[in-house]
Parts: sequence; C-alpha cells; structure tokens
Amino acid sequence: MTSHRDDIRDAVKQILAGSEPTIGAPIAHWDAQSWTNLTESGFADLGIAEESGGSGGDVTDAVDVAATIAASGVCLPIIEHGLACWVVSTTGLAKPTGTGTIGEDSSGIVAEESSGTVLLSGRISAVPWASIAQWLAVFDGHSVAVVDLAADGLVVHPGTDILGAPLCDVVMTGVVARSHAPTTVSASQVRSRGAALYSAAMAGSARAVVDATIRHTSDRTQFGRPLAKFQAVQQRLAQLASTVAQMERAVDEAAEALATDSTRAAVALASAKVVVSGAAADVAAAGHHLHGAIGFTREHPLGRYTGSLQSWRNRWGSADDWARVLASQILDDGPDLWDLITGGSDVASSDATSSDATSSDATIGARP
Amino acid sequence: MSAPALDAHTPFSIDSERLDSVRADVRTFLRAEIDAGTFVPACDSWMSGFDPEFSARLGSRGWLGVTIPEQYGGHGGSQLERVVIAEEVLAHGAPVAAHWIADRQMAPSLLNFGTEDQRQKYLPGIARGETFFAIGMSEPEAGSDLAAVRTRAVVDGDSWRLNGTKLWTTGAHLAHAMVVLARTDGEIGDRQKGLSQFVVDLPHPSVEIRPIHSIDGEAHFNEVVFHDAHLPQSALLGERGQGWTQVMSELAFERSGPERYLSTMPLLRAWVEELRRDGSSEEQQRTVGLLTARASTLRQMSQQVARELSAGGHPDVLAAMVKDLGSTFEGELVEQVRRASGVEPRFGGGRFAELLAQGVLHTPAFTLRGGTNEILRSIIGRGMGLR
Ligand SMILES: Cc1cc2nc3c(=O)[nH]c(=O)nc-3n(C[C@H](O)[C@H](O)[C@H](O)COP(=O)(O)OP(=O)(O)OC[C@H]3O[C@@H](n4cnc5c(N)ncnc54)[C@H](O)[C@@H]3O)c2cc1C
Repeated sequence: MTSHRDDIRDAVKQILAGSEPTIGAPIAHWDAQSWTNLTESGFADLGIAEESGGSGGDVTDAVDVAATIAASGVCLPIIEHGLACWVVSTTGLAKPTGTGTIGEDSSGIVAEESSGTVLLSGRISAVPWASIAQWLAVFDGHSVAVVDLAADGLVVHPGTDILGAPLCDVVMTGVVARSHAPTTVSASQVRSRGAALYSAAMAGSARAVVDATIRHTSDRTQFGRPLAKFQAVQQRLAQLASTVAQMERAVDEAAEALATDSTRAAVALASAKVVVSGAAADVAAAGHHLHGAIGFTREHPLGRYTGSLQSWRNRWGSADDWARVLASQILDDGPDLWDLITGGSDVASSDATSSDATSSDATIGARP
Repeated sequence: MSAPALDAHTPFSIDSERLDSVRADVRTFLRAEIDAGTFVPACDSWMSGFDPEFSARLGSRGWLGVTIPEQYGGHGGSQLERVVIAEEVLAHGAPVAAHWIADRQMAPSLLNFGTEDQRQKYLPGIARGETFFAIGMSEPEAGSDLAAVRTRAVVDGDSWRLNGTKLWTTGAHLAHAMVVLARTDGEIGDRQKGLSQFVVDLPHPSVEIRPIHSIDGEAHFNEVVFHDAHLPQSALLGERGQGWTQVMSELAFERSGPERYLSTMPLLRAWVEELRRDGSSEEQQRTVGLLTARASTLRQMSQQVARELSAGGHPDVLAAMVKDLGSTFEGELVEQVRRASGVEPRFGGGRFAELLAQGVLHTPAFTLRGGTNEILRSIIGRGMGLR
C-alpha cells in the first residue's frame, strides 16, 4: 500500500517537474500547462470510478495527489475539479469535458423546472477557480446540476483569495442547466471529502514550509554561524517539525479511515481538519519568523506555502466547525469520548458515527 | 530484546481483533472496579495513585509484564498489547503508580541488560504486580544535564560501595528496588563515559530516603542519600561503563508511552459526562471537539512509536515529538476545561472540581518529568541534522 502511494506521489512530482511552475506570491497567473499535463495523464480525477469517467482508485489517491501538488507549490484547481467530477459521478450523468468547480454552499440557488429543463437563479459565494473553469457543479444536498460557466444569464464576479488564486462569486439569473439528476451522496459526505482533501493539501504546504525553513536556517549565516546552530532557532524549528508531523499523522489516519473503515472515518476526518486547520497559522507564522525579511518578499517561494495555509484553513469547514461536529458525536447521546477516540465496540454500535455521518449534517450545514 | 521480535513486520491491523478483546476485557474490569468503589478516577494516577492491591489484581489477570517472556513469569505478548492496557488504565484514572515504572521500563531494561539471576529475581514479581521500582537518575547538580551525575560507585573487594545523592526519586519510599546511574570510572568531566547502572534493593541500611513534599500536598518523590552503601557485585546492571547507552534505551520506553498525553484524560471524560447530563454551550462544544481531535491524533502518533519500538526500531525523534506535543496538551487540556467549564478547582466540591484541582496542581510536572520539553526539542533538532 505504501509503495502504491509513493508511486502516485512520485508520478505527480514527475508531471509537475515537466512544466515550470511560477513560484512566488501572490500568484500572477496560474499554471495552465501543469494542469493540462495532469488532466491528460489522468491524475485530476483519481478517486472516481472508471465507469463514471474517472481514473479509478480511492479517496486516498485523491488525497495524495492534492498533498503532492500543494507541497510542490503549484497552484491548481485540483480539489474543486476532483470534487465536482466526483459529485457528478454519483448521479450517473456523464462527466462534462473541461475543468469543473464547485462551491461549498449552493443554498442561495433556486431551481425551477420548466418544460423539461431546469433553470437556476441566485448567488453562490466564494467559488474557487470559477473564472478559469468551464463548468460548475451545483449541489443542493439531493441533486446535482451541471452549469456551463459561459452560459447566458451567468455572471462570474472575479476575485482572488490571499494567495492570488481565483475565488469568485457566481450569480445566475434563469440559467439553463446543461444536465440535472438526483444523487445519493449527502451534504456531509461532500463536505467530508472536501475537508479531507484540503487537510491533505495543507499538510503538504506545511511540509514544504518545514523543508524551506530548515534549508534557509542552515544556509543563512549571522553572528558567524548558520542560524540553525542557535539554540533558540533549533527549539522553534523542532516545534514546527513536531506540529507538522502531527498534521501529517492526522491526515494519513483520515485518508486511510475514509478508504476503509466508515465508523472510524467520521472521527478521524473531523480530527484531521481540526488539527490541521488549527495549526495552520502557527506553521505559517513560524516559517515566516525563521526566514526573516526574505520570506516576506514576492519572489521567495515561502509565501506560496504560507499563503495556501492561510487561504485554505476554513475551506469546507474551519477548525471550530469541525470541533463542533466532533463534539456533537459525543454530546448528543453518542458514545463516551474515550470510546470514540479508541474506536471501540461501543462506537460501532452507535448511530452517531454511522458511515455517512448524516447526524452531523445539521451542524456542518449551519456554517455561515 | 525479548518480545519485540514477535510483532516485527506484522502490520498493526492483523492482531487488532486480539487487541480489541484485551481492551474490552480491561475496560469491563475497570468499570466494575469503579462501580465497586475500589478506586475513584484521578488525574495523573500513574504518578500518584499508589495501590499495591490494585496492582496485584492487574497482575493476576495477566495485564502486567505483558512483554516479559513466560519463563520469567510474563506473558510473552506484544508491546502493542501493553499499550492497549496502559491506555485503558490511564483513561480511567486507575491507581497504577505502584507498578508503573517497574512494568514500563525496568522489565525491558532487565531483559535487555540484566543477568539471568537478575531476571529470575525481579521479573516474576514485576509481572505479578508485587515488585515495584524507582528510577535514580536525577541529582541535585544533574537535572537536564544527566551526564553530570556525581554519585559514585567503587569496587571494594567483591562488592561495590555507593556514595552520593539522588533527587526527585519517585516512589523510592515504597519501592522494592531502585536503579541508580552512577560513575564507576573516570571523572565528572568525562561526561557520558564511565557511567554504570546498579539495582539497589530497598530498604537498605545505608540508604536514606527523605520524602519531598510537592505542591499537591503529597510526597511522591524523595531525596535518596547513599551513605557508603555496600552493594553485592551482582547489583551491577548490564556492562560497567555502558550506563549511558543503557539509560538512553530505558528513556525510549520512559518517554514514549501513552502516559505522556493521557495524564489528564479522566478530567476531560468527567467534564464530558457533566455536559451530556446538563447540556452545553457552543463554546463548550468547541472545546470538547478541539481537545478530542488533538487527543485522537496524539494517540495515533503514540501508537506509531509503539509499532516502531515493537519492530525493533529506535523512534527517538518521533517519541520526543509525541512527548513534547503530548505533555503540552495535558496541561492545555486542564486550562481549557477550566476556562470553558467555569468551575472553581477545589477539593470537597464534587468529583469534577476535584479532578480539575488535581489537574491544575500537577500540570507543572508534565513538561519537566522524563526530560524537559527543551531537552526533547534538542533531540528533535539533532534528528533533523541541525547540530
Ligand atoms: C514529578 C516529577 C517526578 C520526577 N521523578 C523522577 C524520578 O523518579 N527519577 C529521576 O531521576 N528524576 C525524576 N524527576 C526529575 C526530572 O527528570 C527533572 O526534573 C528533569 O530532568 C529536569 O531537571 P531539573 O528539574 O533539574 O531542571 P533543570 O535541568 O535545572 O532545568 C530548568 C529549566 O531550564 C531548562 N534547561 C536546562 N538545560 C537546558 C538547555 N541545555 N537548553 C535549554 N533549556 C534548558 C529546562 O528545560 C527547564 O525549563 C522528576 C521530576 C518531576 C517534576
């Protein structure tokens, strides 16, 4: 299993090495060439069954791809495209061509059926990559509509996150959906997958911060010695490394649990997003602090990683949101806290952590 | 090493059924003990809950000396099985201090370095939960800088004579033996070279044990003075001059266990019980979730250390990371539960207030004992190639 995961990571690295990623923050333009290479070689839709038009594999593969891309510093619509394709695949509809995206909260959209077509109106805020994608998956918790982003009546209000990646508002007025069908996945399943992928991506960025910081403090000399030889610097580096090791452990546990064990998955996934999102700011802060002024410059790669950490913390739920999801599994007549942590037999018999974690829907959905 | 070979190369999940059943058995036993009132769950019970009868009950069920081979009265089980039992007794705040050090680090140390006679002499008692140990590493002038120990052992005919003072020796007043790190060769300036380990049976006519009272009002640790104490030749543990290496391998077990993140778990569990009964605010739910997520992830890291130790590896860096993160977490748990609950920590104000009081009083020890967090970070730094 490990070697399969290593193979995927290596393959993605290879593909990204073939193009020249623009390093620096905020990003001036996104790396379309890398994206083409990645989609053409089938890495953009891993974790989606082949009969649904994906490349097969499971969610662990998708997680590894997201983490590897983030660690490379290349900024790509991998997570939203993968999520959009996956959501569409659960409806039985054909996979649309081109790059897709999805918003976290489509509750502002109203759908009307009229003579066999579905018309969509309303606003979806903060849709990543909407300005470069070709289509949008609109998911209302029960069904999925595929919308052409160039359709009549659809306006993309461009904007970016603090990293410089597209983050747009999409406004629709009677837009005709290209296709529309019911799905069996729940809102919490979509949210869980989004959270898992972003946790992995942040862990990848965090690892890159550690690597860059070790390199910098070993190269940079002050007072006649490399910075890394000073104890105060070593102590902060060690804490940084421990924090990131904890993030990685949490993500691995979540990815493995999602792919295999549904009872354990609900806890592992929420824990991962809490731990990773909760530590993201500390990792970014330590990286910048130990880099000194050079890390604050546009041309330095560090900003790409710290910008990712700061941009992605709240995607598909903040640390606090997921902490409440976890708490509700315990406090709302769920298993004892320790039983939940150890995944003992008491957990398996409880509804609170059933495979699709629907009991936490209300809490997750209630995000502002 | 003895038991570790058992699960080398065995994926964790293969014996997970067996581990689940051990966990269920231990849990059932602990719940029955709590219901019968034989103990009240406490914070930091592995340091302060001294109850020889409870230890003997665990021993009689085969839950001590798990990794000791059967020929020495143990159970030839895996390190992971030991971890499962340890997790359960800690999470339930059971009184396990009496046997903790013996079971955790003296058993592996005797198996690694002890003579056949020493193994025969101590291991069966450890597995029965009847033989208790103390650790004599720290001294007045040797805390973080352990290589600065001054206690000296010299050969006198066919015995050893021991002089010096050990400090902070947990449980020495109740232990049947303590393991002492002493200089046998060279000078203080020789640092790690010339150190050796001894097993000193207690009580001993020339070993003075003075209690030290701690801020929790109790006296868990001691000052231990060796007044020209005569020890038999057979008291030497392992090889003369190899004390430093031996102590470092002992520390791998001392530093890596679940007691480095679970000391205050009984407090969190008790609070959650209150919230389930009385209802909770959003802030309280958030706190429960944040702490649960961290505990869950620390457990994953700690188990990874156990797996690597089992496979005969030396996960020193990972173990140091877990202890740094875990011991910090134990204290933060107390602070966050105190803040979010709004309860005044005190004694005589109910079980939860009392657990909170124990947590507050014990917190300063978490990041000191077993090597301070700064020392752990320096180990991590060395592992990262910074030194
Ligand atoms: C509850 C408890 C139980 C204990 N039980 C035992 C026992 O059973 N047996 C035993 O042998 N010992 C025991 N100890 C002792 C423990 O191992 C020591 O307290 C610990 O190693 C630190 O030594 P010290 O207290 O002398 O502090 P010091 O070493 O004096 O350290 C004081 C402060 O300075 C910092 N510091 C020291 N050196 C450095 C450095 N090089 N770089 C950066 N910072 C540094 C430390 O991190 C700490 O913050 C126990 C301690 C406690 C609190």
